[in-house]
Amino acid sequence: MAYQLSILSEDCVLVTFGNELDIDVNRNVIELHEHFRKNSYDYVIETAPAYTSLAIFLHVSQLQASGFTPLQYVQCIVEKNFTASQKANHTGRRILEIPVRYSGPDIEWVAAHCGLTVAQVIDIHSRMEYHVFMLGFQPGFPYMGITDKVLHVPRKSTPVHVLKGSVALAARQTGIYPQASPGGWQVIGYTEIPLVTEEINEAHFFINAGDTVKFIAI
Amino acid sequence: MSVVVLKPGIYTALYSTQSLCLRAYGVSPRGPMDIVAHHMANSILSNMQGSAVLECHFPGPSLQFMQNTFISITGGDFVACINDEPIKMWMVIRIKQGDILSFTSLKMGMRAYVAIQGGFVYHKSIYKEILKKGVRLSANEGMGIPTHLPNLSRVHQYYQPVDIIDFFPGPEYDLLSEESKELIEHTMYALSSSSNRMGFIVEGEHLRKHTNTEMLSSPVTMGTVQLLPNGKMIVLMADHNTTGGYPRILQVARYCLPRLSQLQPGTAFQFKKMTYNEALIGWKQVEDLLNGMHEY
Repeated sequence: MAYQLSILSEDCVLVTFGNELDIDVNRNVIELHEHFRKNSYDYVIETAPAYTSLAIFLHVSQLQASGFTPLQYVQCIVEKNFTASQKANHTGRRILEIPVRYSGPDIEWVAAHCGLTVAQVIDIHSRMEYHVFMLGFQPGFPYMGITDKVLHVPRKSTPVHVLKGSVALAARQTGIYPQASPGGWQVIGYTEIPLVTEEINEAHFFINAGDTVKFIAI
Repeated sequence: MSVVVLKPGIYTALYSTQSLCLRAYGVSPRGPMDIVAHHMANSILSNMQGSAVLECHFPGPSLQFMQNTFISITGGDFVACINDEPIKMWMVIRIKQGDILSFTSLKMGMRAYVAIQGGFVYHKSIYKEILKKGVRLSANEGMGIPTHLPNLSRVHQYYQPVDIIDFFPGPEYDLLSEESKELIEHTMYALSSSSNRMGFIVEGEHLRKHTNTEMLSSPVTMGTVQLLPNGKMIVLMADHNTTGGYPRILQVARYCLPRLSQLQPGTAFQFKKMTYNEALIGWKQVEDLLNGMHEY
């Protein structure tokens, strides 16, 4: 699987593995992200995975003083340490169970839209294991998929208030809102599992990019 | 050393430049909007760089200092006063126990910064924490009398011109039609009053993509300019989400962001295209300025 390097900003280089919603493309992104998480490099501040690309944030002033451009520096590291693969190896991925009360305000609308009963929506949503592509939008919000075709639903045209722990659907994804917020996804249930816990100077995130999630109806 | 918040002001909050390094978990880096003003506020007091500084919008807060100390005010000019007497910005201000700092009118800019000797004590949370009335802030131990005299004429030069914002192409720049690419550089734009720390909505001629491709959420950062479905642009600022699903058509040059953060809504400005390499050079010049070294 080929990758491309490009610039997002002065201090950020992107490594892009594809342009489609694809679990194998994303597993390469996660694997490269894991490499940076486990190995520290002088000029790398942090990396952040998205669906098809990894963002690499750099100490750009120090890097410039060393004589490398950001692209050259990242190219060097990636070429030396990483081989992209068609079926990315992802041993050691964690499988997390999320108990869900399927009593969300939009579950009947989703059922009607998909031509299913509510019981069928619950059954289809909870029988699959979902890959976590990335976290974004809010601290700890997991973008998971790919949902069964029969459950593909549009976002709401206007966001509404969404409760903490809302389990939701949009397009080919399913997600969980870690905090109450405005949201445009269709809410089908709730989980009590705290996705984010924070103490002084330390935050814990229950679900990470690259994990596998299974919903359990309770 | 404690500081009592008599009035909290609007969206007043402490910011340090230390990164939480949690973008991979969807946590926005949430630093100060104007890093030049933030840096200088600490420099003036010989504080450790990156120390927490209060970022104020207008109406600003009213603070009472419970011990003798030193402060500095930088960034936007909100006519800061101690005990109702106007004080100068961009310099060391001696504070006596009981003194009250307040801001009386919005003269220029959008964000004012208040630094205290030793830096404010600050535990950065993953969630935003706005200052509330009655809260007590504290400061780390200061050392002696600050004597640093930064080259302020160069700092003031940095903020000119206010009406040209440089950019280089974003990852989806080529999704724009040729007409739109032309339009961007030949239109007078202004910031909408609904702009905030998360993003600045740009009012002006609407743009068009030449294809209608949907985009998967991709990494974004401060300065990333997204094309919204209604044809308007939004410049992502300090509270940006870590990923976004709209085309990233431009990237505002980092060295322009502090200047942009002081632009008042309604003030006309133009975008000017440059290369990524030019932007890197521009950023280096600003860093040298902040470190007190070369000509700007």
